[in-house]
Amino acid sequence: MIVAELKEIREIRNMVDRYASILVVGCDSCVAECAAGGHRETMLLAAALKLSYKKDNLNPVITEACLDRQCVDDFIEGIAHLVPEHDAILSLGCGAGVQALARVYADKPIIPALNTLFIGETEMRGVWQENCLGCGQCKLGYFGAVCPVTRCSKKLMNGPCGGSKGGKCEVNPEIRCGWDMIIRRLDALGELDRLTEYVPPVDWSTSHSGGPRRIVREDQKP
Amino acid sequence: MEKNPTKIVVYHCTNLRLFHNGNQKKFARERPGISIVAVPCSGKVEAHHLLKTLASGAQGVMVLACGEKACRYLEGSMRSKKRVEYAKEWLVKLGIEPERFRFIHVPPMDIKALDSALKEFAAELQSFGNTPPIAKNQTELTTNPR
Repeated sequence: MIVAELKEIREIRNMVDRYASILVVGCDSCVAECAAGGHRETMLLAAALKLSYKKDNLNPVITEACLDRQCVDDFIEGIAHLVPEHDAILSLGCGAGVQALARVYADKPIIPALNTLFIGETEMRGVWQENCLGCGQCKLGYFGAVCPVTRCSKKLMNGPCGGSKGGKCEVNPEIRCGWDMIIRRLDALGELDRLTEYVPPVDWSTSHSGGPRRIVREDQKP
Repeated sequence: MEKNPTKIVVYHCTNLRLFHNGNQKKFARERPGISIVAVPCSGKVEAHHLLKTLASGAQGVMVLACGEKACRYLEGSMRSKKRVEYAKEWLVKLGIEPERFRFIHVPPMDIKALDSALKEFAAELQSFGNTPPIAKNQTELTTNPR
């Protein structure tokens, strides 16, 4: 899932202060799981904005709504009846959601309320861990399902560096060494021999360096 | 009767059994400015409820919970406490007194404890003054298309 966090209220206010009516739109998918932009957070932000404006004796119209998914047109249409009566949309979607809203509602300013951070997992309640960079060349099968591109701070593909101590990374002692995790897991699975296989260098042309990526599948088209 | 009573909204866990047979309405009627909202567990009260209550014109919000070890749903009371603390952090960010949210444990059926807690809370809120008044044309079109 995509992990994000809410921007500071001051930054949000700076962006939306010019509008007299604001539609606050959440997304009940990834950003709800990471407690940043689901329906609860949407209601929270809308209430916080109302309080913030009240404190300044200002009174914009603030309406809240939440979509099941902000990055798919079929869901985005769910707020079509609310959009015309507002000056701007404050989106609690990830960067993809914000841009999808901007494409569908081309005549409305769309303001992001979140900072989109990474692709990750919910490690435990309240803790989210980055574990995929979207490099486009997944090699998890070689590395015991632990990604060296993401979990190793130096993105090393050929074993740990000299800074790994006690299973911790020298970049930050709170970070677990990605290669320590790879080796321990493969050892536990009895598959340490995987590391003797030749892993070709990463082809970074499939990563973001080549510009925005796109997948087209004819069988999925309408 | 007080001219401008302090507006306080109280969310209380029904498992505290504070009110019986319509006593809740009578209790609120006898104390102008006090609104009582029963919830099945204090853990049902979330940060957005607290902020929204304040944004809707309350001067303070109180959450009454069972003791942490007495919670019928095990974690509800503990979660509620955390949520009130989180909501207070929001008030700090917004430059509003965090003491406007109060979380307290009260013994079951102890209406006197609630009464004295309310008096103390109201006195503290009066020292803060009013939150900025809500303009009359502030409308909410809260809609969830789902």
